[in-house]
Amino acid sequence: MSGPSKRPLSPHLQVYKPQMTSVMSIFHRASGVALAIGTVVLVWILVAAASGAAHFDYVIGLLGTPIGRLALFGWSFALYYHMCNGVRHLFWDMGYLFKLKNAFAAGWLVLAVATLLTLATWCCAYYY
Amino acid sequence: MKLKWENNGIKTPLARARGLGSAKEGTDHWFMQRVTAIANIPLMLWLVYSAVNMAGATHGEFTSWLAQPLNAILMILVIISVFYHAKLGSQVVTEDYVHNEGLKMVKLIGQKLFFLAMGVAAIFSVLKIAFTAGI
Repeated sequence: MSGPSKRPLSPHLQVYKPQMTSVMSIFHRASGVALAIGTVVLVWILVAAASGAAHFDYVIGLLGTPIGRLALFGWSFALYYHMCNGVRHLFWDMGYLFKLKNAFAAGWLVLAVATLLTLATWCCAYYY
Repeated sequence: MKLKWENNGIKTPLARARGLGSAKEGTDHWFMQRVTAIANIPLMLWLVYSAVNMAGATHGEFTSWLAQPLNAILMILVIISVFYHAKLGSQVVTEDYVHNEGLKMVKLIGQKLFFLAMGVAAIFSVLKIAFTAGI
């Protein structure tokens, strides 16, 4: 070996045809980053609550606006998606679901369960 | 910027490998990502359940709820587990996508400090409420 390889590196993402498995993998990362940023809101609520009623009411007021509710809705779906797909990853870690058919089936199951949990949560929030 | 592992023809393989990661750490990063992931499942379900339950609560209702030991303890566990997990995950994302060595180091250190600061702020707030609300 003399020096770094001159052979082409792995081509960029866009030359591949998107597949459910690869798209779900990207969204696992994207949802993780979104959730990490979303934790700032949790910290904001806690610090505001510790600072006094006026601060707390201000944050809760912002979250109650249509944009705030939309952000919370997106956050809840990102959470359930990341959680369900994370469980799919844990099954892979244990050596299951490697057959292509099973990997795809588990992927669809993740999407279905994440969607159902998101809708169930918001039904509870509004009607319960 | 010249990358450390690039072969300039003078360095021995050992010299190139030095400083590129410790063999002592082993699978710690991978393993703790799984440990916090498993912990996050019940903790986040509890957080969402609590958020739905507390929707529309006043400041007084919220603080007296958080002041209950079980809720305060679970909230602190949420903060520790979630921020640890977020730190590990964002570290991998930065390592994968930021290729400028200097910028990468700035981002990695910044993320560590950011999540630590967020965690301390959140835990302090929970403790303050837990020790003062309802008195």
